[in-house]
Amino acid sequence: MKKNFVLLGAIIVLTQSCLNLKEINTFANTSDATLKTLDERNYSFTSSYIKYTISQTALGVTPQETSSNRFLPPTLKQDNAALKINQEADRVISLLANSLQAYLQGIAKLSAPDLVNYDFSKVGENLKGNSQALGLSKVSAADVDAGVKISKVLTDGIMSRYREKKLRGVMIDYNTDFQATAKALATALDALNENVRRDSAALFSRYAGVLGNPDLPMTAKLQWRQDYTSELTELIKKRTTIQRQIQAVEQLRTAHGEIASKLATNKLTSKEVIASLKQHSGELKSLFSSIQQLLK
Amino acid sequence: MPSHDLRQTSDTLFNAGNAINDRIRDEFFTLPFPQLHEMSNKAQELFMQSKLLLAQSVIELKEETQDNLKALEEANAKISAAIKTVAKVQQAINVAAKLVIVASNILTGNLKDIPKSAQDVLKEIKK
Repeated sequence: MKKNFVLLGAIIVLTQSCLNLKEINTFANTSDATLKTLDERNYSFTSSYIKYTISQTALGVTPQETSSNRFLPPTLKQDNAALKINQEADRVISLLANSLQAYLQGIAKLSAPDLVNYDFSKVGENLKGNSQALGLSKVSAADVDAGVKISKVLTDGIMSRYREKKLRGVMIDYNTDFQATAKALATALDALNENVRRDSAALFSRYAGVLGNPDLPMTAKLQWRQDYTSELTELIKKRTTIQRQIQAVEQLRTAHGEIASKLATNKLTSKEVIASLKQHSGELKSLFSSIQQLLK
Repeated sequence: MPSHDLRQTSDTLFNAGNAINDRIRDEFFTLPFPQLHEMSNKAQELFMQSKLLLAQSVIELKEETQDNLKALEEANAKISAAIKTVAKVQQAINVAAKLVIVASNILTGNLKDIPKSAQDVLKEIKK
């Protein structure tokens, strides 16, 4: 009887840990999905270089040209060295984001509820089918089924504990590296955000140089002004998206740091850690939704 | 040059360009057009250079986080190893299921079926 209670207690404890890994799994999946929005961004250093620096810079355009042309001809030739610098900057953003994503995807895989769902049914079937030969004729089919169920619960539980231990270890040991990489990504995105500000400012300079031309007819001036307003609106939207993405990366950094620090003194299944995971998953989810809205 | 310094230089050029833009904004209706045009060109040049420095500051981040990126790869390798271990348990269960048949064949003296059942165990181990 006493043995049964001990077994029951062990089963309850072990099955509880299976449930609690859901929170870390949700957190990792939400974080991964939020970082994935970086792939969908429609503004990059390269696109800015091609669209704004090369195609729209009005350097060297004569006042005569601005008054006679509806659209300004590109005045700069593509500089391959500059293009390469911009492409490399974009690659660095992808590299930083991909490194964080790979880590979070690993955490998500290791904590996935279906990773530990061991199938003992064949063991049971073979035991029942060969019970005579194995000298198990006194063991009923119901006993074998019960044994299979207990084996499954215990193995699932033990391996969940193993996963919990590994996840905890990785999150504590690599927190500094996660923090540094996430900070670098936020800095890189901030530079991209600043790039949009420079494009907006350059647009103003460009249009001011055109609109100030006294020979330009009023109708043309109105058209140029309309172009300026619509391009500026587009850039403002891009900036808002990037700012939200920076916010998400910062949130992710804070979350990982806070969870890792709580894990130093608590288990992954403790109330404190679970509450923290739930809170940060919720905040990231809401940031993810707002980024998706902006990307539409 | 470190990323931070490149960023600061970029900001300085941006501020200089903005100062020109401010003057254009304030004196748009009074400045002679050739001067306004020249100022517009100067500001655009400053913004272009400032943008290039921003891109370069991002490139420098790669060098500055190299060790952290390597460490994250190491973390991923540890996670992958743990996932493999978890998967191996199912493999062990499958081997156990096949071993039951081998044991049964041995105990009943069913010599004809022993090689096949043993081969099934080996196949499972090789998976």
